[in-house]
Amino acid sequence: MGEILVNEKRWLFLYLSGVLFLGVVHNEFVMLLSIAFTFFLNKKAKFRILFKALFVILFFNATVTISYLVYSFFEASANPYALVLINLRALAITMLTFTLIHNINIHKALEFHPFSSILYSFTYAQIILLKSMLNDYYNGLKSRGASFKQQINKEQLPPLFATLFGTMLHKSNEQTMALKSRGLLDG
Amino acid sequence: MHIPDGFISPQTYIPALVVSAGLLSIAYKKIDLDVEKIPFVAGVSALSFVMMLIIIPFPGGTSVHLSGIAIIALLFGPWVSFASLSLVLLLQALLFGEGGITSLPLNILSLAFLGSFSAYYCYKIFSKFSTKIATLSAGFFSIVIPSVFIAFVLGLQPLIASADGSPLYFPFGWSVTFPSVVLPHLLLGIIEALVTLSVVKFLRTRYGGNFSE
Repeated sequence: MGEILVNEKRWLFLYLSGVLFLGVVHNEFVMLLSIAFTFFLNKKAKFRILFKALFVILFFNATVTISYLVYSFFEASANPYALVLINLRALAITMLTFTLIHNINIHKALEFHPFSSILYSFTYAQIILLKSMLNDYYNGLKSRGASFKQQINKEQLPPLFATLFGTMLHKSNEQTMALKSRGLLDG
Repeated sequence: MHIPDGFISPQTYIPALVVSAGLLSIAYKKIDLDVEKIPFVAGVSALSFVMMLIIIPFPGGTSVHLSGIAIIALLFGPWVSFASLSLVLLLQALLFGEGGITSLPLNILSLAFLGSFSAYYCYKIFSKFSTKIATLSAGFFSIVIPSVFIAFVLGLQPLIASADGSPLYFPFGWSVTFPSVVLPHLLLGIIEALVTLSVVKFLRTRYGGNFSE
């Protein structure tokens, strides 16, 4: 897609226009067209983005869809066909969002204020670190034939939390010092 | 507690976008955070991010999860909490689709703004009597007050955006949203209160000098 739209601003403009358009149009075929267009726009990542968006819709919107279907069974004024438009719109917007993220650098989009930019970088780094630490911890337990449920009790939680949070802060402090020493962060 | 995409009408999310952008610009002007504290804010924000990822979707149109809002608000103040939680919500919407992009302004207003400020001021009010009760109430109201706001906004959708009686966005009215959104959050509020108390106590004991309160 890089050869068609080269910079983040164009992507952001296309995305925001798309979201705004999909929000005000109430036609199922337009939603289907948008889904198809976004699907083919993603080239190699098209199936990954489609399945990720479908998973999000199933996970977050399905409870409302199912409960409204049940409700429409008992309530004559309820129109279950309205759910088609609601869910197609949700899928179309979600696919657009994932397409945007696939094609732009969101780090750049948050450079509008130094606090947001720095906080974003640090928070993102912490999330990645936390994910990796929890994964390592889980693998450690698994390799010993244990599990979270069997091995972690109430007494063990504080030291576990202290280790995880302490490591996160230590790494984060190191990054702050590294940035400060290079003059990239004002004291 | 996040509202997904497709449930909120432009009549609601466009004014919410204007209000949340205005509040965020005030927050960025007000925040004067020491560089040494940024790793702590980022650490607690990451913790909140992880807490919000463990969710149970609910029929009322939202999801139930712990948030860590009161933890950030009590440790760093409401404006820092508001700004950092807005960032957390943006990341969740963009990376995981948790909370839609069209509903992001409302999620920011409810969770980040109302959650942070209700936690902070509950703490201020109740701390005259007992710090423990103040922390517990901060955790509880940081969940319950945003849930009331979300129930109100969701239930408003069929009234303001329908065509020939068919809903165009969220289909249920207030008679469904208030019990189905607020009741589970009353129970969750108790768990959030206990988590807030234990985490705030732990962090203040261990890293006390780094927090504003």
